[in-house]
Amino acid sequence: MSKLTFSEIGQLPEYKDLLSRRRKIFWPLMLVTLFSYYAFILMVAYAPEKLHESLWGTEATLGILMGLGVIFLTLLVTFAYVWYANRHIEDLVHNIQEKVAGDE
Amino acid sequence: MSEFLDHINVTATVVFFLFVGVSLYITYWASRRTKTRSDFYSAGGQITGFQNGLAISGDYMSAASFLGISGLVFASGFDGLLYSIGFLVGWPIILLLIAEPLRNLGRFNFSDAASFRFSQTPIRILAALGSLATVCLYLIAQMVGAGKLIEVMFHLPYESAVIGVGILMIAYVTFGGMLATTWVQLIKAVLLLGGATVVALLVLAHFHFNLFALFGAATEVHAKGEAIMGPGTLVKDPVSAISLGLALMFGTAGLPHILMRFFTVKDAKAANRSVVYATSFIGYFYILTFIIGFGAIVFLTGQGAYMDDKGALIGGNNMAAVQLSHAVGGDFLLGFISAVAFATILAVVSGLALAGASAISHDLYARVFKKGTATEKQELRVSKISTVVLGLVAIFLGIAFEKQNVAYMVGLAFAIAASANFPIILLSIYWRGMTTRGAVVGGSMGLVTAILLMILGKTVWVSVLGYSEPIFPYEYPALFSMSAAFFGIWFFSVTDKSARAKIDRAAFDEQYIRAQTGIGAEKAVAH
Repeated sequence: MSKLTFSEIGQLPEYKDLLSRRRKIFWPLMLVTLFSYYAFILMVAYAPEKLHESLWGTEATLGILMGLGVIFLTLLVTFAYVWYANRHIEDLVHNIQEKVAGDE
Repeated sequence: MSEFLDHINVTATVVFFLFVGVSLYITYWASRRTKTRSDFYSAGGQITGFQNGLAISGDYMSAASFLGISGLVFASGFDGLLYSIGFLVGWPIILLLIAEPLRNLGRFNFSDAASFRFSQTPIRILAALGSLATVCLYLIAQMVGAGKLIEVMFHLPYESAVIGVGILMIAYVTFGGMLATTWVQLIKAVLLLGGATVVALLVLAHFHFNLFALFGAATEVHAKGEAIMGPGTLVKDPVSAISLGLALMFGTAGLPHILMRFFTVKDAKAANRSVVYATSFIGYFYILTFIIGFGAIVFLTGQGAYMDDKGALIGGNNMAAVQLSHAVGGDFLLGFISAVAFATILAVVSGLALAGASAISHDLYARVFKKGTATEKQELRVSKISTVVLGLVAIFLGIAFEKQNVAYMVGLAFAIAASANFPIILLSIYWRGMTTRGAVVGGSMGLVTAILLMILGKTVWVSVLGYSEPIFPYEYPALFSMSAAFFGIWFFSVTDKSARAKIDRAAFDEQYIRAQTGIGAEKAVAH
């Protein structure tokens, strides 16, 4: 194992940068996930008749649209996270690992 | 009975035996590569992100979701969508909160990560109990599904079908370990996605790929008419709606057989890639089941060949997808889909058995009973014995619970996963203040509350035990049992003044850095 202790790793500027970058992506995506799903669930619970409303006079309803919307957002959230991790997180993690291993 | 299930389907038999043949060959191939513990529990960490994503989606596309959700859509339209969305939204939670830290801290199963900084014995016992409870309930659901399916399709007695599934499962897992289990899952996932795509396309083709026309035709023939396009009777009150939502969303992040798959890839990066592939496949699959369910409404309702004298679907609503495949694709597609549905069950029970076996051998035997002194060889032997025992237990439970509601068992499994496993995993990774005592008391409170409320609820208290009024008025316990777990963990951690609590809290910083960076994570290859 490296000479850097864990408390030294915790003080590395790269490590602090990593945590702040993770926070930056975590909260927006988490909130989108929770909000979209619970908005949908609460509509089902409190305003089911609203979800029965027809869209543009067809058989499709607001409920179906919202449901498919939640599925779509869920996929979008996972893609967005990996896109961000690719660009902003994984190199940093790699750098920290190198730095720690390099001190051996 | 109608002509359609009277004769044994040739395609079904051929596809089914091909699948069994190929999967046994894979097991033989995998058995020669499965020598160490790491091979057995995690395929030596050699699975790629894409393969793992497909295998995870395979674990998730169980018979309960394929047959169950399409059957639910067939019965009540929109309500089926409610379930599939709940099953899907667990994935961003896993990706954002669990996948990378879990891979970085653990080695073979989620207990490794959950017990990282705590006193091993009590946490391992609790995590193993949570795993085994989830695995057994899930196993019952799959076994009962398999028995019913084979009873209808191949005219074999229910018991022999269940015994057959149990024996094949034992063979895959004991000889081939995670490597065989993963490949069986991969093949099945491709077959199932392919088969479901064909059925959905054939349905859509009838409507010139106009979804509105499909909805229109469905509301015209369905007994509930336009009511199927919005929330129906599945969720009756706000508390039940939120409770169900919580169980589905957070239960996924506590399913031991799913979490175990994150250790089959080489690092945290591959782990989060697998979540994205898995989410995509699962999302696509649920859209297919939705189309299939609506197709079943249009093509099966009122068709004498598929309905019994009382106007109900032959074999029950869970057979909607299977029967629809006959309506749109004839004997050939029927055979293919039923064989694939059966293959699905085989693949899923194998993953479950492996997760259950690891709870017994890796947690209870190696960590609790032997205090970490077991040799690799001893642990491997115990894990194989556990697999055989679990297989026998699954056969027994499958026969004993023949008459029970499959969807209910899966619901209970999710409630336990969300109330016992998930809070421990989440707080052990993110909350410095958690102590061994808090984890054990709070986790047990979640587990016990979930089980107790299920027993006091309508399904068991009224339908099984025969009382007139349920003591617990809601259908789903997760809102209460998850609250109990989080409150219990919080309360019994902050009031914990023991020496052990100091150790638990002091170890947090190091654990957090490991979780975030992967420093000191288990290397994939242990050879």
